[in-house]
Amino acid sequence: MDQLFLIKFLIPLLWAIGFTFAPKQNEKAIKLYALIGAFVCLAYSVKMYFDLPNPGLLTELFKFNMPLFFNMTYTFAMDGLSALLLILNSFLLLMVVIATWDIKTDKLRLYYFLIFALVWAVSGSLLATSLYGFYIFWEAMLIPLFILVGVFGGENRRYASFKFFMMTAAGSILMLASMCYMSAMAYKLNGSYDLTYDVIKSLNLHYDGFWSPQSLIFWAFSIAFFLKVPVFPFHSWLPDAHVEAPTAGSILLAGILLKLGIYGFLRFVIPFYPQAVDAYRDIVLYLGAIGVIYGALTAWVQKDIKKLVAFSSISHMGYIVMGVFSQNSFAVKGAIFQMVAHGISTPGLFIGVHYLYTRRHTKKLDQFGGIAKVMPRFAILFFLITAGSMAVPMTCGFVGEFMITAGVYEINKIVAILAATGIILSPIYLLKMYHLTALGEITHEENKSLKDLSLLEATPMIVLSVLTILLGLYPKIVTTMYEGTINFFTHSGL
Amino acid sequence: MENLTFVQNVLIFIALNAAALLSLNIKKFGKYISFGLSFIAAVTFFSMLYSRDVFTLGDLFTLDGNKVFLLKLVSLLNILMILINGYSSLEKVKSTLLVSYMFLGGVFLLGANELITFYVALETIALVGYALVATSNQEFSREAAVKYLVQGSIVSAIFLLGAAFYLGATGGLTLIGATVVNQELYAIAIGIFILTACFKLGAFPFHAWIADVYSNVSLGNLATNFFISKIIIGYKFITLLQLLLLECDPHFVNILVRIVQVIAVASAFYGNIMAVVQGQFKRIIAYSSVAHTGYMLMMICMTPDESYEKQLISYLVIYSLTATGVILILNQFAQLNKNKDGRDILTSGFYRNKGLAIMLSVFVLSLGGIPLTAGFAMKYMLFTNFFKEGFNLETTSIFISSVIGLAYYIRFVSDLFTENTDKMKLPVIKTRFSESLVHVIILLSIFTFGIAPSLFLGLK
Repeated sequence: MDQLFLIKFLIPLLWAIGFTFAPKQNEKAIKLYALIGAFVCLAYSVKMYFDLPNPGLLTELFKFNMPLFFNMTYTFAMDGLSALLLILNSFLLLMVVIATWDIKTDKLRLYYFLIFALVWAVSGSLLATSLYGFYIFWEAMLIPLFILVGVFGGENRRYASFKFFMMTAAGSILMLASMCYMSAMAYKLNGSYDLTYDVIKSLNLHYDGFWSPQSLIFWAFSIAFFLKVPVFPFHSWLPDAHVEAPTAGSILLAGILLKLGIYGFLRFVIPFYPQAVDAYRDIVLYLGAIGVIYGALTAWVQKDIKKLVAFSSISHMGYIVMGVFSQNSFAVKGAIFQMVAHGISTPGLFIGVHYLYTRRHTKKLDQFGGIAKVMPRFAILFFLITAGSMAVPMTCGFVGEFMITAGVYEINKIVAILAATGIILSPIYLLKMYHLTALGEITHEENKSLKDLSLLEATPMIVLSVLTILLGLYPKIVTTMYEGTINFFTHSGL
Repeated sequence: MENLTFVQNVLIFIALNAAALLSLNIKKFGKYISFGLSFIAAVTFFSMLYSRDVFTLGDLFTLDGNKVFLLKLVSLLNILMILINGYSSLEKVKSTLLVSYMFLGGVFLLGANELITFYVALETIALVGYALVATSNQEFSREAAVKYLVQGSIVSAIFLLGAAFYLGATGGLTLIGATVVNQELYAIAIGIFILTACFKLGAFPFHAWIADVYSNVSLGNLATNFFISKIIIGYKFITLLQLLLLECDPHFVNILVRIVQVIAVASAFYGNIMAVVQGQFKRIIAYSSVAHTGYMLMMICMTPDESYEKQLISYLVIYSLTATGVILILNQFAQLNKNKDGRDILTSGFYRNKGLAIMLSVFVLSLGGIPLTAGFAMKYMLFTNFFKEGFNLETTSIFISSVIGLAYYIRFVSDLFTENTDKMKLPVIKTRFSESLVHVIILLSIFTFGIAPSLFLGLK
């Protein structure tokens, strides 16, 4: 057990609280404080990974009993997978702080408070291994993002934030209902309401068709996670949320929050409901494949860049769901890699859109064109990130999508072929996006005077571009982190 | 000697409140004297509750164990409400006096061991309730009071009919240890008592009075309704019906439990759906209380148990306390908007009083069942117990209905954080010390109970 864990874990929250005491007028000081906080969070995440004795096993970091809360146990543990996502979470926080350095708002303290609180809640979800603890942090994520979109979002922010909250909360309620059911079962079995890993395992819920407890609980959890990922047809909140969210919200949403749905499957569904996973695997695989194609085709016809990137997320997340549910170790490995790849490329695209928007105050594709002539630095970096998103060989996107498709092919050939169409479709819509923004002649007078990226602005895009290439050439940097955990997430041993 | 002390205290309470009523006639200082006397009466009664563990009045009345605990809580809330109402206006002092009599009715209802005491106490609470509505100075207060009175009277008559059936079935009116000689009559009596409970608590389809009454009563009086009538009537009816069902023939128990479950689920859905489409806050609260009544009624179907009883008390107190907190803060926003009750009164609330806005957000999120708040702990505990009792389908249905509930709770938060330059020009909302004190107490209760519910429930 790590004696200092609690302090390390609470850093983002304490930092967030610190913003409420910051001097309101001194914007620079607030921003600097945020930047230092982001670096500290990243440093402790990396250190926590290196402190892990064996990334292949869940290492208990902290455990405490809550005698006053139904005698429940809160366990925080970490393995390679949670470490990887924890680092991604803190890394994206740093990217957010740098990329939105130019933000102009009179509610700067609230803005950073919400971002740090959100990052803290995500960390909690990644480290909690008792179901109750996971649920608390899962719900805690909703509030800061709801306010972030509702206060700092675009014109239809109220609608978007409300829709996002309601849809994800609806899923959470199903999860809560399952938890209550399992708690009742646990009480009958052990005389305790506790829902730790061992207890959930010992419940051994039986499966004999759709109406059996294992099946119903599987679907309750799955719908909660499908809504978060989001998987077709549970995706309708995502485009609205992305379009209306401020850049920070979009980056964190696409970069890490969506992945928590997948993480939930890996941590709390696949290990515990093996028969249900086997029984419904094909349904989920087809949903994933439909998501890949639907997301890609819808992205193709978008006229708003942010909406296009949002639909591309639905397509990419479809791949990840397929990979995880294929239960093929190669595909699962690819799916986890793709989580990281998507967590790098999509935030990069959102940062690019943010720079375009701050210069032109529009996100309409037809308002751009020929940007590369006036913003060459931006055009190069934006291209590299776009290439990563469209899975060009030697970029990170390619590695994940290739592994998933190859792995899924062994399990279900039709699904793999369907999903492969996504590999063809993604260059179509992403190249269309790039072509309409950066290439060709400048057709709008306003675009002639656009300023290229400053060094500060370019920094996050440079970092993300470098990672896109680096992970494409040498994916082992990431795969070694979670390799040992794969068996845990592939119960059927395929 | 013991009984005498209790009687003495009740008489002192009545005398002090009667004196408070009379002192309202004194021109200049009347309201101050009246306020002071009601306050002293409430404090005296509260301190009496700490003098012993059991209070009895022959066979008619017994207050012991959990009932004394509940009464201590309600008594404390009564004192807090007197402080909140204050002495700033004559109307508020009058309301305080009425509430004191409602409280006394509650005391007798809680301890009632036989049906006549039960009936008289129930009617005392109801009569004060009608008066509170009628004197609320709202546009349709009197109309609402008459509706409430007429419907309430019909239900009272039906309740008496139930008492007659009960007498026929058991040969007496005592509620404890009765021997059932005619199961059919007994089942009919329990059915009628269930109907009365549904009406008094406002469950679907006996809720017709609730929206009119809530929307035509002043917010202060509405808060009172929560902490006295809802808590005490809810507790008494649920625990009583649980006990009465034990003596009932299993065949009839199955039918009655099924009826209660249908009403509970229907109330949860109806209340939540109707609350979503309301434009006035009072009506939202009215319909949300219909939904919460649904959750509450499910407890009738559970086997009586010491821990369940504590959970019921906790649920009632926490729900009422939180709803009271919401109403009190809404009242403060309404005052700055010429006492309007439209949804727009909360717009930009965060920028006019951050503390109030955050507290209101926490209160409504607790009602919605967000983790770390009391609302979540209660929900978790109750629903886990429903599953434990095997009510899988009903509990899942209620869970689904609670998603709809979240929709209107989150709208409060959304409104508070929405920027509107016109609204932001309104003056900052100022809070009195007594109001702040109550808000903080409610906030602490929500978090304390949310984090450490077993502290109150004695659960492991």
